[in-house]
Amino acid sequence: MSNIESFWGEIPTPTDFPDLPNKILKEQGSLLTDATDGSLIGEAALSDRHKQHFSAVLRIKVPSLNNYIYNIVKVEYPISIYPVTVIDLTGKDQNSVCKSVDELRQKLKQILGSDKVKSVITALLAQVSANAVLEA
Amino acid sequence: MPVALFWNLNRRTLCEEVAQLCNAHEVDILVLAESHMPDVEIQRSLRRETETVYIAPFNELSSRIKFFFRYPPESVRQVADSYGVSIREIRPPVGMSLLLAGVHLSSKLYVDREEQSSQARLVTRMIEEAERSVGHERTLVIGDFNMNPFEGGLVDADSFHSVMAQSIAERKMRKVRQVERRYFYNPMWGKLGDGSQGPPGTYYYQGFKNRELFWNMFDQVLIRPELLPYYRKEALQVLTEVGDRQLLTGDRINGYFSEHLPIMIGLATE
Repeated sequence: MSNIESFWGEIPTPTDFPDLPNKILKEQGSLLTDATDGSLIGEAALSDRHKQHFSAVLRIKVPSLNNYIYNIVKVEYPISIYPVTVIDLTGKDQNSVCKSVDELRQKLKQILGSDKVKSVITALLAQVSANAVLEA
Repeated sequence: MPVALFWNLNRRTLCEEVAQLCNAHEVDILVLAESHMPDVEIQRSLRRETETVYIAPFNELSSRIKFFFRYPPESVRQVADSYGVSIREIRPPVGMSLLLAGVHLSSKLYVDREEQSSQARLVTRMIEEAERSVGHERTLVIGDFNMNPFEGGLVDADSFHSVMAQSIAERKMRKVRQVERRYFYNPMWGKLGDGSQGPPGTYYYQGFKNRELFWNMFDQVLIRPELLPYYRKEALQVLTEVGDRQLLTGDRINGYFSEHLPIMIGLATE
Protein backbone atom coordinates (compact mmCIF):
# COMPACT_ATOMS: atom_id res chain seq x y z
CA MET A 1 0.00 0.00 0.00
CA SER A 2 2.83 2.39 0.82
CA ASN A 3 3.81 2.87 -2.83
CA ILE A 4 0.36 4.19 -3.75
CA GLU A 5 0.42 7.92 -4.28
CA SER A 6 -2.08 9.80 -2.13
CA PHE A 7 -4.16 12.35 -4.02
CA TRP A 8 -5.53 13.72 -0.74
CA GLY A 9 -2.57 15.87 0.15
CA GLU A 10 -2.12 16.57 3.81
CA ILE A 11 -5.32 15.71 5.63
CA PRO A 12 -6.10 18.35 8.26
CA THR A 13 -6.28 17.29 11.88
CA PRO A 14 -9.30 18.14 14.03
CA THR A 15 -7.34 20.80 15.90
CA ASP A 16 -7.31 22.86 12.71
CA PHE A 17 -11.10 23.13 12.68
CA PRO A 18 -12.96 26.12 14.08
CA ASP A 19 -15.40 25.50 16.92
CA LEU A 20 -18.47 23.81 15.51
CA PRO A 21 -21.76 25.60 16.17
CA ASN A 22 -23.16 22.39 17.61
CA LYS A 23 -20.28 22.23 20.10
CA ILE A 24 -20.85 25.81 21.22
CA LEU A 25 -24.56 25.15 21.66
CA LYS A 26 -23.82 21.97 23.65
CA GLU A 27 -21.51 23.90 25.97
CA GLN A 28 -24.16 26.52 26.61
CA GLY A 29 -26.78 23.81 27.11
CA SER A 30 -24.63 22.09 29.73
CA LEU A 31 -24.22 25.38 31.58
CA LEU A 32 -28.00 25.74 31.84
CA THR A 33 -28.39 22.13 32.98
CA ASP A 34 -25.75 22.63 35.69
CA ALA A 35 -27.11 26.00 36.79
CA THR A 36 -30.60 24.57 37.31
CA ASP A 37 -29.45 21.28 38.88
CA GLY A 38 -30.99 19.41 35.98
CA SER A 39 -34.46 20.90 36.39
CA LEU A 40 -34.00 22.30 32.92
CA ILE A 41 -31.89 20.41 30.43
CA GLY A 42 -30.07 22.48 27.85
CA GLU A 43 -29.91 20.25 24.82
CA ALA A 44 -28.26 20.77 21.45
CA ALA A 45 -29.47 18.56 18.67
CA LEU A 46 -28.64 18.29 14.99
CA SER A 47 -32.04 18.64 13.42
CA ASP A 48 -31.15 18.38 9.76
CA ARG A 49 -28.26 16.65 8.08
CA HIS A 50 -29.23 16.71 4.46
CA LYS A 51 -28.08 18.32 1.24
CA GLN A 52 -24.63 19.05 2.59
CA HIS A 53 -25.85 21.42 5.22
CA PHE A 54 -26.50 21.08 8.93
CA SER A 55 -28.91 22.58 11.42
CA ALA A 56 -28.27 22.59 15.14
CA VAL A 57 -30.92 23.65 17.62
CA LEU A 58 -30.42 24.64 21.24
CA ARG A 59 -33.51 23.86 23.26
CA ILE A 60 -34.66 23.57 26.83
CA LYS A 61 -36.11 20.23 27.82
CA VAL A 62 -38.09 19.99 31.04
CA PRO A 63 -38.18 16.42 32.39
CA SER A 64 -40.80 17.16 35.03
CA LEU A 65 -43.15 18.66 32.42
CA ASN A 66 -43.27 15.46 30.41
CA ASN A 67 -40.13 16.50 28.53
CA TYR A 68 -41.67 19.71 27.25
CA ILE A 69 -39.37 21.27 24.66
CA TYR A 70 -38.78 24.98 24.23
CA ASN A 71 -36.62 25.86 21.23
CA ILE A 72 -34.33 28.84 21.68
CA VAL A 73 -32.05 29.17 18.71
CA LYS A 74 -31.23 27.37 15.50
CA VAL A 75 -27.90 27.59 13.68
CA GLU A 76 -27.76 26.54 10.05
CA TYR A 77 -24.42 25.98 8.41
CA PRO A 78 -22.94 24.48 5.26
CA ILE A 79 -20.30 21.81 5.21
CA SER A 80 -17.65 24.55 5.17
CA ILE A 81 -19.24 25.76 8.46
CA TYR A 82 -18.83 29.56 8.32
CA PRO A 83 -20.70 31.79 7.62
CA VAL A 84 -23.60 30.43 9.65
CA THR A 85 -27.20 31.61 9.82
CA VAL A 86 -28.61 32.14 13.29
CA ILE A 87 -32.36 31.94 13.72
CA ASP A 88 -33.79 33.28 16.97
CA LEU A 89 -36.70 30.95 17.71
CA THR A 90 -37.97 32.93 20.68
CA GLY A 91 -39.48 35.86 18.86
CA LYS A 92 -40.00 37.68 15.63
CA ASP A 93 -36.39 38.65 14.99
CA GLN A 94 -35.02 38.23 11.51
CA ASN A 95 -32.31 35.70 10.79
CA SER A 96 -28.75 36.93 11.13
CA VAL A 97 -25.57 35.79 9.46
CA CYS A 98 -22.37 35.32 11.47
CA LYS A 99 -19.14 35.12 9.51
CA SER A 100 -16.93 33.83 12.30
CA VAL A 101 -16.89 31.98 15.62
CA ASP A 102 -16.61 35.29 17.46
CA GLU A 103 -19.64 36.72 15.71
CA LEU A 104 -21.59 33.55 16.46
CA ARG A 105 -20.66 33.64 20.13
CA GLN A 106 -21.67 37.29 20.34
CA LYS A 107 -25.04 36.64 18.71
CA LEU A 108 -25.73 33.64 20.96
CA LYS A 109 -24.82 35.70 24.01
CA GLN A 110 -27.35 38.32 22.92
CA ILE A 111 -30.13 35.73 22.46
CA LEU A 112 -29.46 33.57 25.53
CA GLY A 113 -29.10 36.62 27.77
CA SER A 114 -32.25 38.30 26.44
CA ASP A 115 -35.19 39.26 28.62
CA LYS A 116 -37.34 36.86 26.63
CA VAL A 117 -35.17 33.84 27.43
CA LYS A 118 -34.90 34.91 31.06
CA SER A 119 -38.68 35.09 31.35
CA VAL A 120 -39.03 31.65 29.75
CA ILE A 121 -36.54 30.15 32.20
CA THR A 122 -38.32 31.83 35.11
CA ALA A 123 -41.70 30.50 33.96
CA LEU A 124 -40.38 26.98 33.49
CA LEU A 125 -38.60 26.90 36.85
CA ALA A 126 -41.76 28.18 38.54
CA GLN A 127 -43.75 25.33 37.05
CA VAL A 128 -41.10 22.78 37.94
CA SER A 129 -41.16 23.86 41.56
CA ALA A 130 -44.98 24.01 41.59
CA ASN A 131 -45.05 20.43 40.29
CA ALA A 132 -42.53 19.37 42.93
CA VAL A 133 -44.77 20.80 45.67
CA LEU A 134 -47.80 18.99 44.29
CA GLU A 135 -45.94 15.69 44.14
CA ALA A 136 -44.46 16.06 47.64
CA MET B 1 -42.28 29.63 18.73
CA PRO B 2 -44.76 26.81 18.23
CA VAL B 3 -44.53 25.30 14.77
CA ALA B 4 -47.54 23.56 13.23
CA LEU B 5 -47.31 21.29 10.21
CA PHE B 6 -50.25 19.97 8.21
CA TRP B 7 -50.14 17.26 5.59
CA ASN B 8 -52.91 15.38 3.80
CA LEU B 9 -51.23 12.02 3.40
CA ASN B 10 -53.59 10.67 0.77
CA ARG B 11 -53.67 7.32 2.65
CA ARG B 12 -50.00 6.74 1.87
CA THR B 13 -47.66 5.14 4.39
CA LEU B 14 -45.34 8.04 5.11
CA CYS B 15 -44.33 7.57 8.75
CA GLU B 16 -40.65 8.16 8.09
CA GLU B 17 -41.24 11.16 5.85
CA VAL B 18 -43.55 12.78 8.39
CA ALA B 19 -41.02 12.19 11.17
CA GLN B 20 -38.19 13.62 9.07
CA LEU B 21 -40.18 16.78 8.42
CA CYS B 22 -40.97 17.13 12.11
CA ASN B 23 -37.32 16.76 12.97
CA ALA B 24 -36.02 19.11 10.30
CA HIS B 25 -38.53 21.85 11.11
CA GLU B 26 -38.79 21.39 14.91
CA VAL B 27 -42.53 20.80 14.65
CA ASP B 28 -44.56 21.06 17.87
CA ILE B 29 -48.01 20.43 16.43
CA LEU B 30 -48.51 17.86 13.70
CA VAL B 31 -51.90 17.70 11.99
CA LEU B 32 -52.63 14.94 9.49
CA ALA B 33 -55.55 14.25 7.17
CA GLU B 34 -56.21 10.97 5.37
CA SER B 35 -53.78 9.19 7.65
CA HIS B 36 -54.52 5.48 7.75
CA MET B 37 -51.42 4.61 9.77
CA PRO B 38 -51.90 3.68 13.42
CA ASP B 39 -51.07 6.59 15.74
CA VAL B 40 -48.60 4.45 17.66
CA GLU B 41 -46.62 3.78 14.49
CA ILE B 42 -46.38 7.49 13.72
CA GLN B 43 -45.40 8.21 17.32
CA ARG B 44 -42.70 5.57 17.16
CA SER B 45 -41.21 7.12 14.01
CA LEU B 46 -41.43 10.57 15.55
CA ARG B 47 -39.63 9.41 18.66
CA ARG B 48 -36.92 7.65 16.69
CA GLU B 49 -36.27 10.59 14.39
CA THR B 50 -36.71 13.53 16.78
CA GLU B 51 -35.73 11.87 20.08
CA THR B 52 -38.75 13.55 21.65
CA VAL B 53 -42.21 12.36 22.65
CA TYR B 54 -45.33 13.36 20.74
CA ILE B 55 -48.66 12.71 22.38
CA ALA B 56 -51.78 11.85 20.38
CA PRO B 57 -54.74 12.55 22.66
CA PHE B 58 -58.41 12.45 21.61
CA ASN B 59 -57.69 11.16 18.10
CA GLU B 60 -60.33 8.49 18.60
CA LEU B 61 -62.91 11.30 18.48
CA SER B 62 -61.96 12.36 14.99
CA SER B 63 -62.24 10.32 11.82
CA ARG B 64 -60.67 12.81 9.41
CA ILE B 65 -58.03 14.68 11.41
CA LYS B 66 -55.19 13.36 13.59
CA PHE B 67 -53.18 15.55 15.97
CA PHE B 68 -49.75 14.91 17.47
CA PHE B 69 -48.36 17.34 20.03
CA ARG B 70 -44.91 17.86 21.48
CA TYR B 71 -46.48 19.15 24.69
CA PRO B 72 -47.26 17.72 28.12
CA PRO B 73 -50.67 15.98 28.18
CA GLU B 74 -52.15 18.64 30.47
CA SER B 75 -51.40 21.27 27.80
CA VAL B 76 -53.95 19.92 25.34
CA ARG B 77 -57.72 19.99 25.82
CA GLN B 78 -60.39 18.66 23.53
CA VAL B 79 -62.93 21.34 22.66
CA ALA B 80 -65.04 19.99 19.80
CA ASP B 81 -65.12 17.32 17.12
CA SER B 82 -67.47 16.99 14.21
CA TYR B 83 -67.32 15.77 10.63
CA GLY B 84 -64.37 17.49 9.01
CA VAL B 85 -63.28 19.61 11.97
CA SER B 86 -61.52 18.98 15.28
CA ILE B 87 -60.80 21.77 17.74
CA ARG B 88 -58.24 21.70 20.54
CA GLU B 89 -57.15 24.25 23.09
CA ILE B 90 -53.41 24.33 23.67
CA ARG B 91 -52.00 25.75 26.88
CA PRO B 92 -48.24 25.36 26.59
CA PRO B 93 -46.08 25.68 29.72
CA VAL B 94 -44.69 28.93 28.32
CA GLY B 95 -46.58 31.64 26.46
CA MET B 96 -50.20 32.11 25.60
CA SER B 97 -52.90 29.58 24.95
CA LEU B 98 -54.13 28.93 21.43
CA LEU B 99 -57.24 27.52 19.87
CA LEU B 100 -56.34 25.15 17.08
CA ALA B 101 -58.87 23.90 14.54
CA GLY B 102 -57.82 21.13 12.18
CA VAL B 103 -60.08 20.83 9.15
CA HIS B 104 -60.57 18.42 6.32
CA LEU B 105 -63.63 19.50 4.38
CA SER B 106 -65.40 17.47 1.72
CA SER B 107 -63.83 17.05 -1.69
CA LYS B 108 -65.19 18.46 -4.91
CA LEU B 109 -65.29 14.85 -6.09
CA TYR B 110 -68.24 14.19 -3.77
CA VAL B 111 -70.03 17.48 -3.13
CA ASP B 112 -70.78 20.59 -5.17
CA ARG B 113 -69.71 24.15 -4.39
CA GLU B 114 -72.92 24.98 -2.54
CA GLU B 115 -72.48 21.98 -0.29
CA GLN B 116 -68.88 22.97 0.36
CA SER B 117 -69.96 26.50 1.29
CA SER B 118 -72.64 25.11 3.57
CA GLN B 119 -70.07 22.94 5.31
CA ALA B 120 -67.73 25.93 5.66
CA ARG B 121 -70.52 27.89 7.36
CA LEU B 122 -71.16 25.06 9.83
CA VAL B 123 -67.48 24.74 10.67
CA THR B 124 -67.17 28.51 11.15
CA ARG B 125 -70.09 28.47 13.61
CA MET B 126 -68.35 25.65 15.51
CA ILE B 127 -65.13 27.63 15.70
CA GLU B 128 -66.99 30.70 16.94
CA GLU B 129 -68.70 28.59 19.59
CA ALA B 130 -65.32 27.18 20.63
CA GLU B 131 -63.90 30.71 20.88
CA ARG B 132 -66.76 31.68 23.16
CA SER B 133 -66.18 28.63 25.34
CA VAL B 134 -62.43 29.25 25.81
CA GLY B 135 -62.87 33.02 26.14
CA HIS B 136 -60.40 34.18 23.50
CA GLU B 137 -59.93 34.38 19.74
CA ARG B 138 -56.29 33.38 19.39
CA THR B 139 -57.38 30.89 16.76
CA LEU B 140 -55.42 29.10 14.09
CA VAL B 141 -57.28 27.02 11.51
CA ILE B 142 -55.18 24.63 9.48
CA GLY B 143 -56.00 21.86 7.06
CA ASP B 144 -57.35 20.78 3.70
CA PHE B 145 -60.34 22.96 2.86
CA ASN B 146 -60.78 21.42 -0.59
CA MET B 147 -61.50 24.95 -1.73
CA ASN B 148 -59.20 27.68 -3.00
CA PRO B 149 -58.67 30.92 -1.05
CA PHE B 150 -60.90 32.80 -3.52
CA GLU B 151 -63.92 30.48 -3.28
CA GLY B 152 -67.10 31.40 -1.48
CA GLY B 153 -66.62 29.09 1.48
CA LEU B 154 -63.37 30.81 2.36
CA VAL B 155 -64.34 34.38 1.47
CA ASP B 156 -68.05 34.86 2.30
CA ALA B 157 -68.76 36.88 5.41
CA ASP B 158 -71.05 34.20 6.83
CA SER B 159 -68.38 31.51 6.21
CA PHE B 160 -64.70 31.73 7.10
CA HIS B 161 -64.63 35.37 5.99
CA SER B 162 -60.91 35.12 5.31
CA VAL B 163 -59.17 37.99 3.57
CA MET B 164 -55.92 38.40 1.68
CA ALA B 165 -54.64 41.52 3.47
CA GLN B 166 -53.59 41.82 7.10
CA SER B 167 -54.69 45.46 7.09
CA ILE B 168 -58.28 44.36 6.48
CA ALA B 169 -58.17 41.50 8.99
CA GLU B 170 -56.85 43.94 11.60
CA ARG B 171 -60.20 45.72 11.48
CA LYS B 172 -61.37 42.52 13.26
CA MET B 173 -64.96 42.47 11.95
CA ARG B 174 -67.51 44.10 9.73
CA LYS B 175 -71.27 44.21 9.80
CA VAL B 176 -73.08 42.53 6.96
CA ARG B 177 -76.84 42.98 7.01
CA GLN B 178 -76.55 44.01 10.63
CA VAL B 179 -74.71 40.85 11.69
CA GLU B 180 -71.14 41.17 13.00
CA ARG B 181 -68.80 38.93 11.02
CA ARG B 182 -65.25 38.51 12.28
CA TYR B 183 -62.33 38.17 9.89
CA PHE B 184 -59.68 35.58 9.42
CA TYR B 185 -56.46 36.45 7.64
CA ASN B 186 -55.59 33.96 4.91
CA PRO B 187 -51.86 34.21 4.17
CA MET B 188 -52.11 31.52 1.49
CA TRP B 189 -53.23 34.19 -1.00
CA GLY B 190 -49.60 35.23 -1.01
CA LYS B 191 -48.52 31.73 -2.03
CA LEU B 192 -50.65 31.46 -5.17
CA GLY B 193 -48.98 31.13 -8.55
CA ASP B 194 -45.48 31.63 -9.85
CA GLY B 195 -44.98 35.05 -8.32
CA SER B 196 -44.65 33.59 -4.85
CA GLN B 197 -41.78 31.81 -3.19
CA GLY B 198 -42.36 28.08 -3.41
CA PRO B 199 -44.66 26.06 -5.66
CA PRO B 200 -47.78 27.61 -7.27
CA GLY B 201 -50.14 25.63 -5.00
CA THR B 202 -50.41 22.61 -2.73
CA TYR B 203 -52.46 20.31 -4.99
CA TYR B 204 -52.22 19.68 -8.71
CA TYR B 205 -55.05 18.36 -10.81
CA GLN B 206 -55.30 18.31 -14.57
CA GLY B 207 -58.83 17.67 -15.75
CA PHE B 208 -60.55 18.03 -19.08
CA LYS B 209 -63.04 20.77 -18.39
CA ASN B 210 -63.08 24.10 -20.17
CA ARG B 211 -61.99 25.78 -16.93
CA GLU B 212 -58.99 24.19 -15.25
CA LEU B 213 -56.76 25.80 -12.62
CA PHE B 214 -54.22 22.94 -12.57
CA TRP B 215 -52.64 24.16 -9.33
CA ASN B 216 -54.91 24.58 -6.32
CA MET B 217 -54.26 25.91 -2.84
CA PHE B 218 -56.56 23.56 -0.95
CA ASP B 219 -54.24 23.28 2.06
CA GLN B 220 -54.36 26.50 4.02
CA VAL B 221 -53.95 28.24 7.35
CA LEU B 222 -56.31 30.94 8.61
CA ILE B 223 -55.32 33.28 11.41
CA ARG B 224 -57.55 35.39 13.60
CA PRO B 225 -56.47 39.05 13.95
CA GLU B 226 -55.53 38.40 17.62
CA LEU B 227 -52.65 36.22 16.39
CA LEU B 228 -51.36 38.58 13.72
CA PRO B 229 -48.79 40.25 16.02
CA TYR B 230 -47.15 36.81 16.39
CA TYR B 231 -47.10 35.95 12.71
CA ARG B 232 -44.38 36.68 10.19
CA LYS B 233 -44.63 35.61 6.62
CA GLU B 234 -41.25 33.84 6.56
CA ALA B 235 -42.67 31.36 9.05
CA LEU B 236 -45.25 30.11 6.54
CA GLN B 237 -44.01 27.59 4.01
CA VAL B 238 -45.30 25.11 1.48
CA LEU B 239 -42.74 22.34 1.78
CA THR B 240 -41.34 20.65 -1.30
CA GLU B 241 -38.69 18.37 0.08
CA VAL B 242 -38.20 15.75 2.75
CA GLY B 243 -34.51 15.50 3.47
CA ASP B 244 -32.88 14.94 0.10
CA ARG B 245 -36.07 13.80 -1.58
CA GLN B 246 -38.17 16.11 -3.70
CA LEU B 247 -41.96 16.17 -3.33
CA LEU B 248 -42.17 17.72 -6.77
CA THR B 249 -41.24 16.01 -9.99
CA GLY B 250 -40.84 18.46 -12.83
CA ASP B 251 -43.73 20.89 -12.53
CA ARG B 252 -46.06 18.46 -10.74
CA ILE B 253 -46.39 16.83 -7.33
CA ASN B 254 -44.61 13.49 -7.04
CA GLY B 255 -47.44 10.98 -6.67
CA TYR B 256 -45.17 8.53 -4.87
CA PHE B 257 -45.72 10.73 -1.85
CA SER B 258 -49.07 12.38 -1.25
CA GLU B 259 -50.92 14.31 -3.95
CA HIS B 260 -50.82 17.22 -1.50
CA LEU B 261 -47.82 19.21 -0.34
CA PRO B 262 -47.32 19.80 3.39
CA ILE B 263 -47.69 23.29 4.81
CA MET B 264 -46.05 24.70 7.92
CA ILE B 265 -46.51 27.80 10.05
CA GLY B 266 -44.74 29.18 13.11
CA LEU B 267 -46.25 31.70 15.52
CA ALA B 268 -44.18 33.55 18.09
CA THR B 269 -46.65 33.02 20.92
CA GLU B 270 -44.33 31.06 23.22
